[in-house]
Amino acid sequence: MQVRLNGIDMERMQTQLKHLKLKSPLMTAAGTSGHSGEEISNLAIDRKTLGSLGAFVTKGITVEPRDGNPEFRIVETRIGLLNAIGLQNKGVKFFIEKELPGLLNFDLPIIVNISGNTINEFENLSSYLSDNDLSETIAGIEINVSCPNIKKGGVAFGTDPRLVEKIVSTVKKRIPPRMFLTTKLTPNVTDITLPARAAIEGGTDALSMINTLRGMAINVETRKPLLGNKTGGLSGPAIKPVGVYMVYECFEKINECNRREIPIIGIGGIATWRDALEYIMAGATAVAIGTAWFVNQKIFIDIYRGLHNYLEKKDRKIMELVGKAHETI
Amino acid sequence: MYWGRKPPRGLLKILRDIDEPFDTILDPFCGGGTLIASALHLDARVIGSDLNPMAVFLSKVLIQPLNLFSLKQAFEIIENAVAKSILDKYRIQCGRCRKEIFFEYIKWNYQENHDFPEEVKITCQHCGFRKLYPLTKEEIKRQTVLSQIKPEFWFPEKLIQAQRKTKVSFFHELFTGRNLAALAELHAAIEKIPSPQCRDFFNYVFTGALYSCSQMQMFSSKFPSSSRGWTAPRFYLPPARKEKNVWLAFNNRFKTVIRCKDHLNSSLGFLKVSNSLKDFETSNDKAFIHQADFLKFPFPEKLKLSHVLLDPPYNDDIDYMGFSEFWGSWLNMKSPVNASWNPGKMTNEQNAHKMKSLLLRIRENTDSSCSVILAYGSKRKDAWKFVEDSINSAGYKLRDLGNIYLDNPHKRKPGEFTVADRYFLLKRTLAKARPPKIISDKPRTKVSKFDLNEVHLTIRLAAFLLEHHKITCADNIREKADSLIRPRLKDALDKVKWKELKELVTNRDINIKANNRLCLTLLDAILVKDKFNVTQISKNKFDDSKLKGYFDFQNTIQSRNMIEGVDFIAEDHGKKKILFCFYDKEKEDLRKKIASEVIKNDSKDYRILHFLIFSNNEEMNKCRQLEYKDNWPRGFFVCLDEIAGMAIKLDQKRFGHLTNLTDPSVVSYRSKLKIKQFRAKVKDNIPVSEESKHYRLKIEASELKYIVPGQFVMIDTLTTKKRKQIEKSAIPSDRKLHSLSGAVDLTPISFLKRPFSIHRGIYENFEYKYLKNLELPQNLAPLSHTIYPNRFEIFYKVLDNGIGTNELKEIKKGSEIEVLGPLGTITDIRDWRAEGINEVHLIGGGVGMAPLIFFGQALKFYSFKLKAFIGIDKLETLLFSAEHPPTFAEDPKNAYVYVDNLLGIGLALEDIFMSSEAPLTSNDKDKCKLPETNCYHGFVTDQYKEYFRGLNKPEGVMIISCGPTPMMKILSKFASEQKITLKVLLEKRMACGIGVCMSCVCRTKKDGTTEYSRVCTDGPLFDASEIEWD
Repeated sequence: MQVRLNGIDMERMQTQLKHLKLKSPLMTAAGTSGHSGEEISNLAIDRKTLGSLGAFVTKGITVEPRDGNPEFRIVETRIGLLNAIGLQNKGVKFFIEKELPGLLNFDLPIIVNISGNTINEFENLSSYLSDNDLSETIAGIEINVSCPNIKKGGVAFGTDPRLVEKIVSTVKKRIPPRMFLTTKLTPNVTDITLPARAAIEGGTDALSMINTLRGMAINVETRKPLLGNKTGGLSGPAIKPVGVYMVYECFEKINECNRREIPIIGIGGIATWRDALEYIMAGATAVAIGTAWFVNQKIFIDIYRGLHNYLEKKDRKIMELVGKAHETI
Repeated sequence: MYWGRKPPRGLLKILRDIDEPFDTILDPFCGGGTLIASALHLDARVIGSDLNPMAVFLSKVLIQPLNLFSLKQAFEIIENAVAKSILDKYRIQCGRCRKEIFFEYIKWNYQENHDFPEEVKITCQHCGFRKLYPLTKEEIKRQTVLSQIKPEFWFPEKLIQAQRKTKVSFFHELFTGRNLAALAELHAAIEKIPSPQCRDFFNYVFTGALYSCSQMQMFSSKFPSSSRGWTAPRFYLPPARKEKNVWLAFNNRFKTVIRCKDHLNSSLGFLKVSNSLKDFETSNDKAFIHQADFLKFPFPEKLKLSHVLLDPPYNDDIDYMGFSEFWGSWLNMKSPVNASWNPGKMTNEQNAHKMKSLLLRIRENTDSSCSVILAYGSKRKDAWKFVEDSINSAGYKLRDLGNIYLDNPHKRKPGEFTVADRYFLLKRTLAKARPPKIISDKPRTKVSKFDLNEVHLTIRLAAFLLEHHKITCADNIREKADSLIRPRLKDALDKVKWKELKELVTNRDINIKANNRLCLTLLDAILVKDKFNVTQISKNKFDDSKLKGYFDFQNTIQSRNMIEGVDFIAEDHGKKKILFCFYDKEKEDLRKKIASEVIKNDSKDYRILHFLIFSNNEEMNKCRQLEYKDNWPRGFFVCLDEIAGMAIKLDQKRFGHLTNLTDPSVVSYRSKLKIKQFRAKVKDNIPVSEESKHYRLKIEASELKYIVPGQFVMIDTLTTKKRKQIEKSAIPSDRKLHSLSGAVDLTPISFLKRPFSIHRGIYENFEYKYLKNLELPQNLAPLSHTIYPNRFEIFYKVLDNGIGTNELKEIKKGSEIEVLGPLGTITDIRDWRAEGINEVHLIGGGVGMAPLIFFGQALKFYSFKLKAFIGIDKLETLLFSAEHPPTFAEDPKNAYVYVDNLLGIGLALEDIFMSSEAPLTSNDKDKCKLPETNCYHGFVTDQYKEYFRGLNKPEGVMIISCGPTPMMKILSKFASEQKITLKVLLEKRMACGIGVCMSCVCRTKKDGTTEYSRVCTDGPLFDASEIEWD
């Protein structure tokens, strides 16, 4: 049966990440949409925004509360943003009790981004989440082994394939099979396929790529780094080509991705529907939008419409376009 | 779904009306769980129990928070599994396009000793044909055969044990074979859902659809499309009935329930439900629900109960237990044999005895602070006497809480309500004995006509006040009137009979009188402090001569208009007049005339103010839109709700006799409004003086009308047109690569929006500098509103290396820019008055003064005293944030724009102070016109300290400051030494403005710990004592 709502052909936009069916390929990127969804609800266009999303990814959480980095935390670059927030959050207990209930009515699969300093912390965090997931609100977990702004863990884990595998398999063991597991990879490596393969070995259901690229900025007047953390991570349209390449590389080189057994979530610099399509054609099954959302609060709606118009014109479904760029010649 | 469900909204109102803190509540007859959900919504902890396992099941599912997404996913699983095969059972040919479709329902009829399908209702999926039409002969045969198919899956085969039976003896005989088969298949699919919570939920939906899928579903020719609830209290097969399409019924039911779930999720959030009473007592879990007989189960030992909600079945004919079998049999529920409460067979005396034993059990097991909320509803009219008797004899005192109403399901007359239940609060009395009735035996006295009028008016007033509650019971009105009337007239009031009372309440003349009286009393209470005298203008006894000398502007405003159009006049010993008119659509022209006359006679002085009184907030806000600006030029609006709230607040301090005059629920005037992203038109964008780096940007944005001081907006510093061009140029194309020649433009462009605060709001109906002369009475000011502003001014400084501001200054008049707002928390300035503040000092460092002007505007409007300190210090800004280039100090004349603006909002020259790091030349001083003593050479903080110490016992002073951090830090220290409130307006780098990026943080203190707070959503206006400055 064909489902059409307000002239939108829902079926065209449907996509699937393993057993998780999404009504749209668009997701929020971790760290850019808050924990409780309160910020989206405050917008006048909240319903439309939620309608164009396929899944909601929360900002990263840790076992203990984290203060985050000192000021300044952001620097604007030419077409991007350097940030060093440092995973500010109030801890998993607060998250479960106060923030997660806000997401109950989103009518979206909720994917919780988790982070830790040690493997042990990942273990505790994932078991705490699966034990306290009242009414099965959490549809999936995203392992963050790529944050460039924390001293321990983060990117240090993500660059070591052995550690990635160990963390992923630890988390996988702790969570129930209905939860979807994805691993967010860092682009700060020479060969992205190594940590990607390691995550697959560890048992991840999907790969999210890419996190921010490391970068920094200096104030020439004071002759000091601008960011409070000295270095930060670069996001925004500036890093899109890197992200597209890495998705392409994984889809090309890794058999599981090529056979569409391990879907890829494309993240990094998406600001228009064309960017989203580039990622999809490079091999991503879904895409997440982050920094561009700071600039334009209508971005999800705009991209959703743009994608839909394109598909309508070409008479395609989004799932048919995944990895299309590999079929050239 | 369950018998006797109550509308939750009415219930909530009843609970709120009790106005006691709800701590732990016991609901021993929880039924469908409505009471539990309402109590949880009010943040109480609840123990629920019911003898009926079905009720326990329903209540549990009702309060269980469930993720809508997983529910919809599970629904999809069921749909994929069975929808097609179920729908196949309901195939029929479309009456128009002849295609195979499925029907909505078939109407069966019983005639001449046999059942047969008579008509069918379809909505064709192909051609959209929608009709109820008779079946053909072949179809009747076919459908009769089809309706008798045998189920392939399990279904309950249980004997009906209810008191009253019809011709069927088994539950499954209540369904047609086809529906039974479909239900069995659906049930099997639901049982396969892996998650137990989802399974329970779908069983809940399933049982909800059961009744409408049974043959008990009556067909009514008057309302063919209505699916009635279970109204006949027995298992009854009507002759004309429906055989519904099971899948459609289930689907509809699912949609309804999911809507409720959406609502409940947000009102209840996550709550933990305990597994045992012991767990509940020892943990913080919110609820515990179990199956138990109230007369036997143990009360919690460690917990104190604050309320018991008692809603037992009265001696109605409803056999709850027997009916629940109908649903319960599908869920394999065992009903307790020998149900101890079988009301249908009891006499009133037995029932009263039962009631008493219940209350005695509550009395025994709770302490004296625990009260009982009793719901009463019975069709037997004589029953209440017995119930009341048993309550009194059990040692409880009654307080009536009013009825709750059900919407009339068929809405035959709009607004018609049927009463569902009446609620009572039972308070424990000390003695068990029944209090003896007091028989009044007072001598009759004669009442004068004047007094009688007063009595009538009071009664009407009482009824008027009670109208909010929809209570029109004579006793209530009498009680209320009793509390309002002068003691002298109490006897006279007692004599008024109910019939008379009724007439009085509907009498139109008295109605208007009462309304005026109420308004007059309230206005008087508000204006008395400013020595205003409020008089009502009498329309009947118009006497020109009386007006002479009383209204000194009687020659200018036509007295006829005045009499007809104005309801009250307040005057202040000849200095000022305030005209109050009730808003009345019919008299709009007259009001307009008065408004224009007011302006004609009083163009600048604001000696005559024109106020419109609205009955409520909503109506008022409707008229505050810009399109009405011509109707009410320079008019002020107030609404009765707010007037009442204020009057009571003021009165409490003095006499306290107004307290029972109005409904306590006073509407707060600004609720949280949603953030909008919109395009605003640039009206002006020019530097304050030639070659100045300070610019004023004027935008037209009616979307920002609700913005209050302390809030801000995010602005895209490129015009929408330019932004689009840039986006377009980023799209790669083959042609572009070839034509790429010459240098690429590498000048940096902005990526993020920039935060700006509002410098000034511009009100269309008031000329610039209107605040200079306007002075509203102190207590009336916080209630006054004008037409919303639609233009806003933003003041900004262009930084040498600032990408954003350099782009912004290029924007030309007439272009469009993208704006996001209003952002930040809402501070209600009017609340400050209640905190004892009456004077505000604005201290601004450099451009920091800009947003304070907007504060000044609002503060002046609300009649606060104001002083302003402008600091044009070079050193402080330079030292600590190297990014900022030198400010005003290099050219003090830029700062004079502030002086101008401050004078414009009504400050006197003596109230404005200025300090400068670079000494001000005498030329400068002349230009800014400030008195010599108000100019200072040095830091603004030093100037302020000096000034403040010179004050004689300053009281009720508050400082609002904005500027460089070191300045605010010094002020903060000074403020805490002097114990004055200091509010600071912070500015930070921001990426999003809506709270998601967490980049605009500042360190705050709270309960001994420090954390990073977001300036955009937690501020930007902070209490200085909250901030960790180091």
